[in-house]
Amino acid sequence: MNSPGGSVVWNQVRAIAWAQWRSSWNRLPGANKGSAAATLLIGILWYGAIVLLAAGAGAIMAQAGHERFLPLLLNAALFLMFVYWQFVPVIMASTGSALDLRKLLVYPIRRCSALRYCCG
Amino acid sequence: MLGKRMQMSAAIRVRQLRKLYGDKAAVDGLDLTVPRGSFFGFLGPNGAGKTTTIRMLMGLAAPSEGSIELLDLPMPERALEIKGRIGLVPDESLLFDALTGAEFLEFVGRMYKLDRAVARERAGELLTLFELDTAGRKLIGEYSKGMRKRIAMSAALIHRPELFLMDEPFEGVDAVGARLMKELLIEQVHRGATVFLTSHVLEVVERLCDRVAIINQGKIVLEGTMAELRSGSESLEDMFVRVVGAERVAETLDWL
Repeated sequence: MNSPGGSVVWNQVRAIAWAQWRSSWNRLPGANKGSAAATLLIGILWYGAIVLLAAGAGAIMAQAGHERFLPLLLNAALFLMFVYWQFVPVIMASTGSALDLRKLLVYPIRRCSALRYCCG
Repeated sequence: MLGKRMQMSAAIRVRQLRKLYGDKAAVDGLDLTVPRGSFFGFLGPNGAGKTTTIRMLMGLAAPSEGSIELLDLPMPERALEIKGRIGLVPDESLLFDALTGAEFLEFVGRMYKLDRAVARERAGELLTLFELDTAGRKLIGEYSKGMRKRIAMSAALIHRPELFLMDEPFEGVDAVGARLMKELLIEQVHRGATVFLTSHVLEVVERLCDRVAIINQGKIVLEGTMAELRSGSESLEDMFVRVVGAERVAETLDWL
């Protein structure tokens, strides 16, 4: 990505990521330090609970005789993960905290800029 | 030779443009040439096909048939280059409501390949020009209709485009804002840019535009320079009402 064209693309990708970050930040209630701290706390609790659940499941499964539950547990866990990630983008878009990428169509950006942003 | 030169210098050239929604043609075989450096008014009653046409010019809707050339480049084949050279005042749905005015302008500047520092500097200057300094820190979602048009206009100017495509740019804007916008657009035309706008305010079109086209039911029903149109005794409003076939006298309601 050393070509000028590549640099332009990456500058645009950075700008889209920045706008996405600002959109999410601005949608926080009040967008002040207090609400940011509350959001951080909720995030830690939510993702902490998931980590605890995973660690607990790992510890239980490690015990002898519990292997037979593994397929069932993995199926259920995968299903829940996919359901969760179906809803999260919809919720983000509907609350306005995510950029509507279709609006980027009016700007001179290569399709790959938006794709890079979406796909990392 | 002159004709060829004129043909070469079109900012917008549209041939047999059609847009179908199911069986219904929103735009039906449109032929239109907008010379460079002109101030072009695109008029029509509600549902005539103005917004559909402008959305196709912006690359937001694909034509069902026909060809579009902007700044002598074909759409959509050279869309990337074209989009970098046009400034848009679209309908309000294309603004990002969760960004502040200042953030939006900086973002748009960066989308048009300006350095971040330049985009930020121009954003600040445009906010001052449009008297949005304080509002620049508010979310666009909290803006009034007039403020949204002002921020859209600022975004259209930030990269100094050659062609402006504007859908009802003065709608909801107060007299001071509208005057500023008009003066800016006239300056842009004087420096050689082309303005293509739709408007329902015929007085504005009559005062600003040097060329006008009227669309009705997806077809151009009248086109010419303002001088040509003024040569008759009719005002633009009378002409508009006549060519779109809305001359009937409203029946008075019994109870009114």
